[in-house]
Amino acid sequence: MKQAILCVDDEAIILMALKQELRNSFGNRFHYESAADAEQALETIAELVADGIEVILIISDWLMPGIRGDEFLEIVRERHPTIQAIMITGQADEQAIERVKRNDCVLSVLGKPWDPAELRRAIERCCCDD
Amino acid sequence: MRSARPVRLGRYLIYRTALLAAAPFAAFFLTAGFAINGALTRNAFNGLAYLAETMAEETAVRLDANVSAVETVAAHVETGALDPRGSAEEIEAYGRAVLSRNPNLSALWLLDAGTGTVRSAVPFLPGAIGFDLSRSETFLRAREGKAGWSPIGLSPFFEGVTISLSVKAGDYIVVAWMEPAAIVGLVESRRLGSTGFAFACDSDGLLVAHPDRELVERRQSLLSIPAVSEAAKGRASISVAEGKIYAAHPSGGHGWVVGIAQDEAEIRSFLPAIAAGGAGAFALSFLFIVVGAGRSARNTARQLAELVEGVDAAARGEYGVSLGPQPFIEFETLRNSFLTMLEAVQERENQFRAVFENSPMPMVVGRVGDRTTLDANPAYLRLLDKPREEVVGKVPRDHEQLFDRETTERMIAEFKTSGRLRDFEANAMRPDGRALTFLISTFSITFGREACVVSIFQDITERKRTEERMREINLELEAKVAERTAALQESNEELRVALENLEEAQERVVTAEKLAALGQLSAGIAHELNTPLGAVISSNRSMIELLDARLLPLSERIGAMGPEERRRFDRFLKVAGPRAAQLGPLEPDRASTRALRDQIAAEGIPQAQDAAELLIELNCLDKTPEFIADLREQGAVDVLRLCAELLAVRRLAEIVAFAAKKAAGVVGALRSYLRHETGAEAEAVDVEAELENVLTLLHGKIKHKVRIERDYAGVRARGSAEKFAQVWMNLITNAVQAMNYNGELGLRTRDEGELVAVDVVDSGPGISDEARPRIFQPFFTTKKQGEGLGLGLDICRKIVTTYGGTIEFESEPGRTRFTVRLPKAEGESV
Repeated sequence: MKQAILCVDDEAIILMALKQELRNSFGNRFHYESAADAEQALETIAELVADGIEVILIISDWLMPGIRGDEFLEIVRERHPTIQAIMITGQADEQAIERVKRNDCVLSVLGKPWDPAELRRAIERCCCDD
Repeated sequence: MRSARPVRLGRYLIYRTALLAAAPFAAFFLTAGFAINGALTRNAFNGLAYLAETMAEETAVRLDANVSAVETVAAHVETGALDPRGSAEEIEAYGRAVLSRNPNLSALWLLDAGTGTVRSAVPFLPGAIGFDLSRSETFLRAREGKAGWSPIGLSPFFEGVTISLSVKAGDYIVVAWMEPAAIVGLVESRRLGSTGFAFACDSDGLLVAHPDRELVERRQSLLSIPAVSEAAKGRASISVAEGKIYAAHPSGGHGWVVGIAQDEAEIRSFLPAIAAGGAGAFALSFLFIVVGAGRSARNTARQLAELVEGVDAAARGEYGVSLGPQPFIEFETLRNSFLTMLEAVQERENQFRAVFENSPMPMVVGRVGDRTTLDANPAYLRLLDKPREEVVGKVPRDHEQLFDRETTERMIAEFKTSGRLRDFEANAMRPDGRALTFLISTFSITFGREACVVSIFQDITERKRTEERMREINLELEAKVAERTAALQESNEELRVALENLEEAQERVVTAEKLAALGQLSAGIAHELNTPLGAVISSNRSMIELLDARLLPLSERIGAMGPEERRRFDRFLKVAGPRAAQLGPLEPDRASTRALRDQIAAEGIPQAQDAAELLIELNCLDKTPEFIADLREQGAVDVLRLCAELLAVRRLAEIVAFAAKKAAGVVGALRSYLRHETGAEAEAVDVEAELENVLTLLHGKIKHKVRIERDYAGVRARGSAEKFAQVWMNLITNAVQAMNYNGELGLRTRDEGELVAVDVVDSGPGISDEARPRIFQPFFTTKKQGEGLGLGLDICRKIVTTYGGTIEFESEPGRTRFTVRLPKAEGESV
């Protein structure tokens, strides 16, 4: 069964760039899904689950319209405790980062612009360690 | 009288009174004279008539008595009391008794009625007895039974004229003889005045009695006299004849007439007396009236003269006249009115005098001609600094050295030219050496019946001085104004420089503040920048990796392709290539993906899953049918993957470009926020295309729950497409954010003539009352931190204003509309 990585960001270019980056790094290993906001993300997760695709990782922006990233991840954690997450934030607010980090499912918090190598390591850490 | 020469009132009154009195007096006395005369005449006539009547009555009585005595005798004879045939002695005795009782009877005879012969005569007359009287009238009448008087006549038996009275007594006739004068003796005795006399006539009009016995004896008839003939007919009458007035009266039933005659001249003799008396009375009265009226008139005139003198004195200005009370009401009224008038005049003069005396303006009255000063008020005396007696009564050159020769001559010339002075300005020198300026005006008056000129001096020294001072001040002021103006210009320049400095400083302050704000918002800005930067770095990394991994093997790979495979590759590139240049929708929904996969699997395409994913990656879902045939071939999916990898580079480059543009946009927004740019070049902008671009960019955010309603009018605006894009982006972003990406977005353009209106309408909750006044302020935001800097609407407004447009909004829950109006691009192509 194929696994999926869900990218959530309100910026289309981020989503496109991320997907291409993931595709370059991991090829066909995963499904690469994207969502423009938390709501859409939750829907997508539900659909993927329904399709029998396991979402193993969510790469989410922190600042999004509607529900904020950390809140979104809280919801995800409640509904799908197995899904892990990487937070990419353009925010330099240390307090916010600290708060995000306290979320159990958040493996890593990266700043924007992120280092592709670092991202790749983070993904590999979460997806390939097991 | 009015036009004639005036006359003295007294004389006039006397003349007038005398004239008026004389006429009625004369008339009165004439009338009275005539009346008196008439009355006296009438009285005389009446007296004559009365006398005549009286005498007639007396005569009648006597005649009656005689008649009755005779008739008694006749009765005695008839009755036989007296026997005519008796003894002579008896008859004598009887006769004598009768005669003695009737002194008028002189004889008593008895006649034989048949023969007419005398039978008896008392007194006895020897010749008489037997005397035949049968032819006598006496006898004839008596025989017929008519007792009556015989005509007067001369009898041989009696002296003078006699008349007889005979009465029949049976066979006898009694005849009584009478002396007519005796009967009318009374008449004779009545002598009136010197010419009056009585007379009597018998029934035949023959004179019976008259002072002139001769007339009687001649048996003169008086019937020619109207009064007598009238009286003979039984009517008392009076008439004038032969210078005599005759008053005649019938005497009883005897047919006799008794009358009185008097000379007319005697009766009218009082007329001259009356005339004389009247004239005298008239003269006396006239004299009395004239004298009395004269006295009254003189008196009146004297009273009037007193008044006149008082008035005259007052007219000369002597107001102290005392006028005694006047005896006549009219004069008294005149006096009172005059005194009242005098008081009024005096009061008025006092007032004028007070004005004159108290006027602060010097005034002087000078006589026309010799210019003698007749009066001067204290102000004038003060001006000359001289006592009154040195001024009044003198000519100006003796006391007045106010004006120099030239001024005086000028003044006199002016006066001669125009007859007066009117605000004649003259410089004067007071005795104490003070220079003064006067405005001199004159007017003409009559002063004590002399033509005079009043000169009034208005001292305008102070005014002149003030004017001079004003002029100086004005000049000073002008100088000062010029000076100040120069200073002002200078300080203006300084001010302008200062202002510029200030503006710069302000700009710096604003910028500093903006920067400070930016510092605080650096997190948000960082996010805005970091997002595209992240996309750039990521995309760039991907491109490097893709190029590194695929570029070198590419030629080998392509070279390894068979011709069929090569053509397939080209076809794939041809179809998918253009899509790579578009940042289209991220991915179709999962249902479409599934359907595609199922479709491809159903076509019997190997690696259906991969093929489907590649098609989605290439954004060519809708072009699936063009790929289907090629994809059935062996290795076609690998070719498609190669294609996708190559086109990924292309797409990444597009992402980089877009992200760079976005970052540049952020920077540009910041820059335009920090330093507002003006004078941007204007071009025709296809507003609707730009709106659609924005919708495209926002597609991911709005594709799910935002329903878009478009109402385009096909308008173009003048401005900058790029700048306007920022506006539309801001407005649309605000709109969809405001309704939390769920609701209706209305985009409407309208042609408003010179302007183009663009409405962006959302169905969000609306702008709160607190926020409304502030939404255009920079850094004001209702969004969460990171969603915006709070500069969006500020930037929008700046852009719109820069291009000569306006931005406004109206908001209520469920409907918020922002309207941007921009100049319309007329007839310009995009």
